[in-house]
Amino acid sequence: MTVFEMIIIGLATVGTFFMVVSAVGIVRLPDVYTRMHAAGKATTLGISSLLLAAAVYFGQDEFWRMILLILLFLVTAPIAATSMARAAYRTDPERGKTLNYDEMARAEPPAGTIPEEADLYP
Amino acid sequence: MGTQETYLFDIALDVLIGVITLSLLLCFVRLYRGPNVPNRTAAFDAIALHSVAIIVLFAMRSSSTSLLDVAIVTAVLGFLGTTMMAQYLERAAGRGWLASDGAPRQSTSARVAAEVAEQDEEDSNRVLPAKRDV
Repeated sequence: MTVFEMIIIGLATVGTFFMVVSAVGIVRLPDVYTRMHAAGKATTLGISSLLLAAAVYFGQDEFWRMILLILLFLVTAPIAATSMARAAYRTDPERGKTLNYDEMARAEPPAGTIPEEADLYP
Repeated sequence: MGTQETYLFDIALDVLIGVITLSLLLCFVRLYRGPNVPNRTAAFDAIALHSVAIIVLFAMRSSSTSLLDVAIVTAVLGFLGTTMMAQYLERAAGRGWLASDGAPRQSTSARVAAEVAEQDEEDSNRVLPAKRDV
């Protein structure tokens, strides 16, 4: 194995390790917020490392495309995770009883909220 | 082709693909028994990311650059799926379409359509409050 290939395999192994960690977290963590924490952060790091391995492997034009895809993940993963966590909080009948500190419990409905949606703000 | 070095490289990539496939199956466990919709959506998000990972590893294994386009499209589709599901859940909670455990009520599509029609009628009858100056 050349040094070049060892770098690629090293990056891919790190990425695979983080993907496995996130999958174990999704299965074993106790509630939906911690599961989303595992799914949101560890997978981003893992997929970034894997895409970096692909970028090093293919080189040339594919390098910048892979960097672009990493940037895409860095932008979209937090958006998806936060919007999903907010939806999970608002559809949760127990409204975050498992949380130690619930910042959204004190949120006021914004002005102009229609009455049906006012009870989304506990 | 055929030298010991490339052989080792391919074996290593094969092992990584196998490991990440097992990890994908773990995500399917959560998809199967997640108690409500948000849990399943988190699992779906992870499944989309694992698919991208497998596609990228396979692109390296077969050194075909056209598979990287597939990876990009899969990434965008996974993000869209998660975000649309979040939007649907918030809207559904606002309109009372969800049972208390966060899962959709056991409703036929006709009943949902009736509720939508009812809600639309209410919406059209409501006099909107005057906008405040901010």
